[in-house]
Amino acid sequence: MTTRIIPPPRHAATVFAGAAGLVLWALHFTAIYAITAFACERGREDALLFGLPWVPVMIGLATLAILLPLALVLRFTLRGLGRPVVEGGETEPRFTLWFTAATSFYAVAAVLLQAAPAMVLPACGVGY
Amino acid sequence: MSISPVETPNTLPRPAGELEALKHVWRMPKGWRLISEVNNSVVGPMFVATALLFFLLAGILGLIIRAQLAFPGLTLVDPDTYNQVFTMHGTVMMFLFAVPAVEAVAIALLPGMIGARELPFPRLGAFSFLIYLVGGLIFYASLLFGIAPDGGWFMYPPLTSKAFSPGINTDMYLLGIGFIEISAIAGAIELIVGILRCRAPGMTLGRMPIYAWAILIFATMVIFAFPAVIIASTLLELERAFDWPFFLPERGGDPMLWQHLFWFFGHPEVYVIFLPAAGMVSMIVPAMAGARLVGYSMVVAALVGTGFLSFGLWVHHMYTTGIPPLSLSFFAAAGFAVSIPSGLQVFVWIATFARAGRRIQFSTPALFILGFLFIFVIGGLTGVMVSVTPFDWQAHDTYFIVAHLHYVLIGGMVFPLFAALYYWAPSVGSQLSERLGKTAFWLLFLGTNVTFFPMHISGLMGMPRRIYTYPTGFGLELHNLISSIGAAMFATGAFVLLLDVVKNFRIGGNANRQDNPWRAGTMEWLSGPEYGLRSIPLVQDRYPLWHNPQLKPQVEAGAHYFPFTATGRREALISSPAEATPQYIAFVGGPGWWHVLAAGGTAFFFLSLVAPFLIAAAVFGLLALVGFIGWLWTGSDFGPVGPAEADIGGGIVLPTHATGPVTASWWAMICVMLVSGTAYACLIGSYLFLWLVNGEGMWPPPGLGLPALEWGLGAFAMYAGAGLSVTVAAWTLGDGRGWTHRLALLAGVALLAGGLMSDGWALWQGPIWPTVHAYGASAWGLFVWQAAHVAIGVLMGFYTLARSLTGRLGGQRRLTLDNIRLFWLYTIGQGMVGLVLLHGFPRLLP
Repeated sequence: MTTRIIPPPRHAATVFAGAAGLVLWALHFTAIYAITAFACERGREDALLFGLPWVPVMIGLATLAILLPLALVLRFTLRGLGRPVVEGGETEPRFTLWFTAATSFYAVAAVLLQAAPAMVLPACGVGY
Repeated sequence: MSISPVETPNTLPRPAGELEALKHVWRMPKGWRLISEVNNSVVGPMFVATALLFFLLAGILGLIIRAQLAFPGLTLVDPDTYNQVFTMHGTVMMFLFAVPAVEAVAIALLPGMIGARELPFPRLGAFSFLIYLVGGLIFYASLLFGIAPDGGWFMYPPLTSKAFSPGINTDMYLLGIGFIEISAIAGAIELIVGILRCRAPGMTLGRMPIYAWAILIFATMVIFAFPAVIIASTLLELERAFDWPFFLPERGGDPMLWQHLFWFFGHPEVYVIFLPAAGMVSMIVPAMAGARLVGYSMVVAALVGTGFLSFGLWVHHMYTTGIPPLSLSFFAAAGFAVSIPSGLQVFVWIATFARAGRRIQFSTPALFILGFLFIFVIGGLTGVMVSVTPFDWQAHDTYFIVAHLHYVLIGGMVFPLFAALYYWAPSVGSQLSERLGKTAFWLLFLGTNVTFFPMHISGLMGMPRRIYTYPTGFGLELHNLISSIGAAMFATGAFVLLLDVVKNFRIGGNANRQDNPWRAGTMEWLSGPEYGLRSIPLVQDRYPLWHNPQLKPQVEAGAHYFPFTATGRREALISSPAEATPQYIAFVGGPGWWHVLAAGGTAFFFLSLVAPFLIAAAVFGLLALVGFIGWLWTGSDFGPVGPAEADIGGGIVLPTHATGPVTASWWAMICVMLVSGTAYACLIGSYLFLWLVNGEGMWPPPGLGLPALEWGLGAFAMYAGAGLSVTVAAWTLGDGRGWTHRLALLAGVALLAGGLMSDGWALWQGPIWPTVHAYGASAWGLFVWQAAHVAIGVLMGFYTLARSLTGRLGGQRRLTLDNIRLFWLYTIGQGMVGLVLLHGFPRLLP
């Protein structure tokens, strides 16, 4: 009986790369919570940065810093979806790319939703 | 890999004796010796039965609560007992029923569903079940002695600090629940590796059953969420036992730290409970509808999105603690965002039912699913309400929250679980009664709504949760009476269900047993006797039984992959994580007693510490250690056994042994590192939190100093040396007969231990003392965690040396050394991070 050559399996990282967008969301969430907590505990609620309130500016910068890699992930995945399906007609590459794109879109929405209050609410409240 | 339904990987008929050999290696012990069996087909149902037992036991406590509150001013139990009753109701339901139940169903069903004979570490699953069984029963029994936890299921300090809870009730929780968490984490590791590495050939990620996705995400969430409660429990126990002030404000601690740690676990915990249930629903609905699930890919994305975002919600349990409103709004925003994927799943289920038209079978499972949809959606809606911060400022700690949580938990988990019970019972045994099932459903459905709906109103009227009784004249009497009547209705429904199970269910089924009565399309319905599957199916679709109606007879005839035992032992086919390309054949454990000893020792070790009976704890700890060492020594790292390769069919020839990153054990060790790393991250977070709340110039506070830099540098160097030593040992192993690797191991052990001692001495020289201030307590907390890892690492080093000296290490037989190297490198990395933090951070502060 002829031994069949099995195509080399893809690296384990390809399984987890699909969650890249949500990992970026988690980093953004951690950053903005840490920024606000630090500002309120260390009396920076009235501080200015570039002439603007410190907390919203820092949150804005953190948001831009995360939206950039999110945009890159989306660009890579959406371009990949347009290519012909390869690997012997398997649906796998399309599923993985689709999944990465869908979760990254969701991450973008969540990042914007959680950053938005910084434009509206005062940084700290009564007692800070 | 496209084969027509009539073309199968192996030819028929199979050689004589092949099936008998397979049956022989998978045979089970008889009688009382069955407790030593590890097969998921035994452990899974026992695990489910135990979880349902705890549901009934905690339910009885719920009935006591409702009896006490049926009328104002009752004194059916005294207030102290009442505190224990409601605490245990919540604790047992959440820790001993909800999470174990979903884990148990997964252990029972997943192997068949993914086309595997067994999960990769069955002894770990059995160990996980046994500590839960033994420890859980003893924990519950603490009620009979008046020493059950009594601070509410989330046990907030300062109520649970030594000053206000001097008895051992709190310690029973902290230590008793701690090892239940170990059980959950052990099960989760097995499930992750099983789902990613044991799927049948052709079952790519895109073809995996939705339930497998749900369990994968559930298990990953357990890995990242549960360490937080382990750390919280450890810190509170250190405070209570040794006066290390993590949560005492007068010495730099903060009770808010407990709340952050607990809810960082506690919120993902509720999704840990819900997601597997959603996975069950996503399997049952297509079968009931006779239609493929609408939007499979969207549901997968929704599950993963929910899993991630659930880690960004925890502060919504802390809206009334004085945290700045902007911070609260981040969590409110994440709460709104997380409702999107949950809502999406609900619409998918409705759409799948709609697709069925007249084909829907309104059987008992379908009724429980419809009940789930109704109750869970109501709970979800009130969840969005309380996610709105100003609303929660009114509703927090009232019966509105009690109503909400019971709607989402009963609706979102209990009803799907009962649907699963009725749906999958025929796959492991006999079918349950439709008549009794429907009776139970209506009683449970009506009982749930009659019990918990009035609580929305009594909560908005101001009735606080956990109160022992309430006064007349506030309009609360009628709502409470209705709730209590509803509880009796619910209890009757539970009794009818129990009656059905006792009367009609038998493992293995009866003569009239129907295979696949629901005509479902997924492979758990292929499962046969003790070996699970006669051959491992080639998968070409998300619903293999619908795609290939001949699949069952083909698999049973041995026409698919691997219809034999390659090495004369129990084995699993290990495949790649993305496309399930077969990679090698792995040994899986069979019946034994070592893991039983390890489980008993571990459970009694923790419970002995509660009293504390220190000598007993030492004895049980030693027994547990003997159990673990015996388990590993006799049951792992055999090296190549039997033929080096086996032709599993379809021209695919696989090795029967592997080493390195391709192995399932390597992946399990990575999971262990993730658990430890998360716990360490929680400790680092605790350290930074306490720094933040202590104000300028208080880190270190007056009277304490900085750790001695020269000793810290020495520790860093020794850790690095230990890492180099173990790497040299791995590189120079060769055939195992040389002395280079042995000396490298010994040097590594010495350097690891020396590094720890230098680390500790640096703190002591500070001076940094753990009882004076939270600065010292948090530094020593990090050290204690590191010390535990170093101790395990040293033990592992000596164990590996012993294996080498006895000729059990060398050549291809190197799993032990490869895995301990991973653990050592993690421990060393952890230690180095700790050194940089403790030495560098306070020095860098302005």
